[in-house]
Amino acid sequence: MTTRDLVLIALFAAITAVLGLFPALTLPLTGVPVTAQTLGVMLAGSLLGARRGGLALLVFLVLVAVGLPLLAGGRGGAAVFAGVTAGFLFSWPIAAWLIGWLTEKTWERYNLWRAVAINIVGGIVLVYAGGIAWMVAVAGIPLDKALYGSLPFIPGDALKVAVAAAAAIALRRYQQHPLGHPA
Amino acid sequence: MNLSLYQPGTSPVHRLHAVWKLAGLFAAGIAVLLTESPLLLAIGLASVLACFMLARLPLGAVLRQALPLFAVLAVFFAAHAIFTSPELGTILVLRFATIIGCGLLLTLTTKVSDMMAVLERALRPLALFGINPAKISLVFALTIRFIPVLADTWMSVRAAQQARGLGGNPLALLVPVTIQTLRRADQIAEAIEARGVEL
Repeated sequence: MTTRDLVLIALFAAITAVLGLFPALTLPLTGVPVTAQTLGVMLAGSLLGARRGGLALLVFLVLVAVGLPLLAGGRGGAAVFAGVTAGFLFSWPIAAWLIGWLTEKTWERYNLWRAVAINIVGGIVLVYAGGIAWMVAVAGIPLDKALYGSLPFIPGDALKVAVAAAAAIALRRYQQHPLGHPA
Repeated sequence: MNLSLYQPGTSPVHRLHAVWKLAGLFAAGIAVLLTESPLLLAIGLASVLACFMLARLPLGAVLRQALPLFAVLAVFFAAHAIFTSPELGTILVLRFATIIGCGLLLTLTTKVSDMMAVLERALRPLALFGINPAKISLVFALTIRFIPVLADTWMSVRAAQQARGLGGNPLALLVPVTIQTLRRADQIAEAIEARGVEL
């Protein structure tokens, strides 16, 4: 890894933290502000690629674990990794890695729809699978109940998928050469 | 911006070395899985609470972190009471509450720098696999330094876009912030290398 790779990992870990400090999105119709840290997951994956994107989120989680209040709502510390919903957090680095990997694979044909599809696979399917698997395995919640309990969060995450995909496309057009091929 | 949950103090809990507190957290994590007796688990939770009393932490700081976690636990207990059994719910809630309590105590009584020191020592064996631990330390230090910088960037971009009437557009915020970040990456990398930092 070059010094630039290390700096990019740190910067995107920091972006994910900043996304937790401010509500970035407002849900249409309901007007509920959504803190958008999974945007950081999707951005890190689609802009940095698998390796650097996954590591950026890993760095972020380690900093949360050692006691920085970087999660939305100023939460942090070792305790959040023992909670009922910790599986969602553990999924983030894997999701960023997967989004990055799929982006690298489709780099030549990358467009808005592929970006949306990739973000859905990594940012929703994988994150929910991780979160729900944790609830079922660790917290003993029946699978169907865990599924239904997670449904209300899907609209917000769908919005984030769209925003992250549009941002990735806009940035790709802008940043083609300096960023180069991810990974 | 206060970037730490640490609450200064001089109690025995504060003075205990971070390694021992971490070891205690892991031990508690294993211990609660070894028993299904609500009585034993309740004793465990009570001893964690006793440690909180011993640490004499400000109540507000504890509640600010604890309430969101325990709100989830309340919903979780209700779900178990309805769908499985209240007995199972009680056991699981006691387990989670004990571990969450231990984690909270660790975080509130331990400086981030002490935790990082333990982490860096734990990462030292990675050198055997060709990974330079100094690189990892650099990334953590850079991230902590970048958070307030990027928060500033975020606020100035947000103010600029609000002035243009784009305050409600997440893309108008996210794209410029990310572009500035990517540009900055080159400058910072050059600056690090120009100072001859050997990685």
